[in-house]
Amino acid sequence: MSNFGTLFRYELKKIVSRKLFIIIAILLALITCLAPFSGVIGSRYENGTAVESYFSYYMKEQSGKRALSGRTIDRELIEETLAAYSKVPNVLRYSETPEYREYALAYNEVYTFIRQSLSISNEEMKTRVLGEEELYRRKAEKLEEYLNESFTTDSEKEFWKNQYEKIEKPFKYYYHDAYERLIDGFMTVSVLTMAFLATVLSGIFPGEKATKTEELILSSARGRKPVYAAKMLAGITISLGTVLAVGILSFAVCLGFYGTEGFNLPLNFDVNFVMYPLSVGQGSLMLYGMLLISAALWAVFIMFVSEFIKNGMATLSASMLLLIVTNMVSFPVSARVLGQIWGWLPLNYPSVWNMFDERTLPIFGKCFTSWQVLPIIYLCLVIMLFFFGKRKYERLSRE
Amino acid sequence: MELVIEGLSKNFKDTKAVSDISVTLHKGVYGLLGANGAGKSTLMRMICGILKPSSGRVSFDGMDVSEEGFRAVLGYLPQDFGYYPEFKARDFLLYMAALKAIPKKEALARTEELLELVGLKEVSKKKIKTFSGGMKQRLGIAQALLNRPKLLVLDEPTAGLDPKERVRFRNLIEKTGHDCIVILSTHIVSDIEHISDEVMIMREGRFIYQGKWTDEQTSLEDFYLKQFEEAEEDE
Repeated sequence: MSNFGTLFRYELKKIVSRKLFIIIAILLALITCLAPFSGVIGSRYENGTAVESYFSYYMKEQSGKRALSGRTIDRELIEETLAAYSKVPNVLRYSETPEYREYALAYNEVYTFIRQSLSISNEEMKTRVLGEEELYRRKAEKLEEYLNESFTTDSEKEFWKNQYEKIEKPFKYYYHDAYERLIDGFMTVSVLTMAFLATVLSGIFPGEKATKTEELILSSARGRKPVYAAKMLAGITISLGTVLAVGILSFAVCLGFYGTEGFNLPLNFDVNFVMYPLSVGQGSLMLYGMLLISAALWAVFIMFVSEFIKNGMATLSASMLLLIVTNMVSFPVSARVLGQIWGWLPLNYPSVWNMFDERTLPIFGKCFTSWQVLPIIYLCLVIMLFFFGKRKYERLSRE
Repeated sequence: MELVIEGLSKNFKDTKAVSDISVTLHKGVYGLLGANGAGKSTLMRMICGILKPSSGRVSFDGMDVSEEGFRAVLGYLPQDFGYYPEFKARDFLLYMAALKAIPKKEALARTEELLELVGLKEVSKKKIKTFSGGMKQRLGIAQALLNRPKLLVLDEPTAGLDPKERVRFRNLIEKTGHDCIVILSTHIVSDIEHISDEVMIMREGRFIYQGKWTDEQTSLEDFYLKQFEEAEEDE
């Protein structure tokens, strides 16, 4: 394979030199850069009147949260939080009141954490007298209820309880807006990345027929096996490169604007069903790490389908349809196996709820989380699709 | 140097595009004449291993058409020459050289040589999408010659060339034909009249004439028409 490197380089060039690639890559980069600022653009209204820009409102919120950063969520902070919220009028859109902005704004994350841990309404929260022991006991009970409702097995319940115990309690609150934005915006970024890959890779094989270059390739010495491998590798490289670029851009924008603080805040504070002892920083990195392998499998799948049906437009349509369907359809928790398989498909998997899913894969009595087993399963699927596609390419290359 | 075609046929559903063609070719230029739809391109695509024959076999010096060794000695210019619009001429040739398994150093030297030969040296760093039809066709000829082929298959190579370029091309093929087997398909008789050592005339998937051709004979155009008339009378 002496010329493989050159073939691979030119296959990459074929993909990235297309106008379509450049246009949608710019669009993807723009959306990735702008999405984290959706909450700081525009004006804020109180009682129907614009009172200030969301940016200045956010700056107040940020300085309030930074003032609280590093404090333990204990009886003192709980009381302080509840006292701040007691000053907010009891109206439906209470967050639009001047009292909320004045007294409660800085405490909103701690307040949400307490309320979600107890799973009670705002009304009940105001009349509640609460100590930290009760908060963390109730939180553990709520998680147990959640595990029961999720049809988890006894060994899974045991596994998750053990993991949850490893999280240091009482929690320490940290200002962590950058990681929160990264986690919240991840779903948008992953769907856009998958759509981008479907668009740029669906023509990788059929495109040669459309440009009438197929005959030149097939009549060349290296036109069969090496070209197939070079094309596949170029597609995988594009998928990995796209995720890396999008990931670096997201982290750079979020950390650059919102600050790097809060990496060590337990992920459970932000996403209350995550029982694994991970921090928000680790969680954000893991999301993008797993998007890498999902994108690689998705890329190989698209190229495989395009080689099979020999039609770029049909491949793109089918991929987009799949992308829409997988995002719209979900299975009830009672359909445990089906739901788990569905959630672990490469298009569904890059999301907080599927990645940190409480459903595990039991092997020899041990529970393995999705991120422990899926890289191996995806790699096997990539190899399988690669070789099925190779057989098809070699067979179809002569009509 | 020997190209052997044995009982080659291709059927598309109920249509016989090429019917039981057998011929052995040696060094020289072979002109393949026939009207549009006579089966010339189908025959050439089978000779290049792109199209699988319904029956029959193609081999070059004992190597079957499906072998990499066969493709390594082949140069092919299809009727519809495909290219990558965003590639520069030089890049396109270097890519084709990699496809033809030409070592990097040799590929660079050969690319420069061929760009000069086909008169594209000045525009070698320009994107192919900016080229005229004739320039694209010259690039197609250059890519077919990259690996110094022993078997050169040219399907309607003069399409899009202006009269000056046609003459230049004919001279180039005449020169190339001294060292390899050139099969040149066309429906324009004058393209091959002065350069082909042998003429093969195709009609409805069959050879209706195959033999030597020299300029001393009658004009090829008259001869070509006569063959068609005779074939029609035989039917």
